[in-house]
Amino acid sequence: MNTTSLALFIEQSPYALNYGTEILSAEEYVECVTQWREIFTGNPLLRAWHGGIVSGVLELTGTLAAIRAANNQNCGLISINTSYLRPTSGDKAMFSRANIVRSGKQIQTINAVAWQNSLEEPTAIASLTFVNAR
Amino acid sequence: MTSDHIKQLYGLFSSRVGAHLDLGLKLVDIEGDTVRLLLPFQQKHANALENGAIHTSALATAIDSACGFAVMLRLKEPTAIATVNLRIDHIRQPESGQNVTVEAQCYQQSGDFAYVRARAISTKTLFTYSSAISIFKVGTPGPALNSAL
Repeated sequence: MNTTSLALFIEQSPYALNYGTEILSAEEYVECVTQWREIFTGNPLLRAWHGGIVSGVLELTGTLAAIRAANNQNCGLISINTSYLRPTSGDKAMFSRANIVRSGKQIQTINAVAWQNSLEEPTAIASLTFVNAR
Repeated sequence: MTSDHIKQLYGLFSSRVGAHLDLGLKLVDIEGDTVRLLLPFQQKHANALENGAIHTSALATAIDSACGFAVMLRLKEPTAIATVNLRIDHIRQPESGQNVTVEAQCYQQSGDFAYVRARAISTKTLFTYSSAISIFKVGTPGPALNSAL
């Protein structure tokens, strides 16, 4: 599955369109970028991304990786565990990448990471569990 | 903080928290140590173009916010907090076009960490769509919230 077919998934998903997330790569892993928008503000005093939005973008990136691994089969998220490592600063884009840990017949386990300055300085990581064709 | 403080804080923050404005998130009530928010269905947060339901990522944002307010409710004075970890188990997809209630309860504070449980439930049947637990750091760097009150 290539970038174009995953982009089609975004076009057909209102919530994903609302994020404005763009796919940068869908080869070895799925990598995306999400530009900062005011609607992502969590703490207005710090002007930081809302933790739930960060989790949501990691979920979207993980979903794209799951769909790709399942050959365009629908995948439903059953669990996500997000650890917040640093503030995700407002006014800056957030990059996200998802890797398949294991893609089984029924369950897919995926790790995702978010960063702003460099991949060596992740702002959040998530472990996601999907069930195929829920 | 008292429930009146939380309502005041929510009122002050709601107009400045872009994520709350986008979700149309509303504080429904505070009962004991439980905070309840209403997440209204909006097509832009749906999981499909037709007959969609509120997507799990929108639930995550509402759950994180509810957990934060539950921590505030437990604290004696306004303090900067940050989510350290948030785990959400999605049990069942909300019904198409339906609103969701999110409730959170901070059940323990130990040192600088607060522990919260939350769930997203049907506004009609009270069926649990999602169940969550989270950990917050209390007293993080940054502007104190009492400057906003």
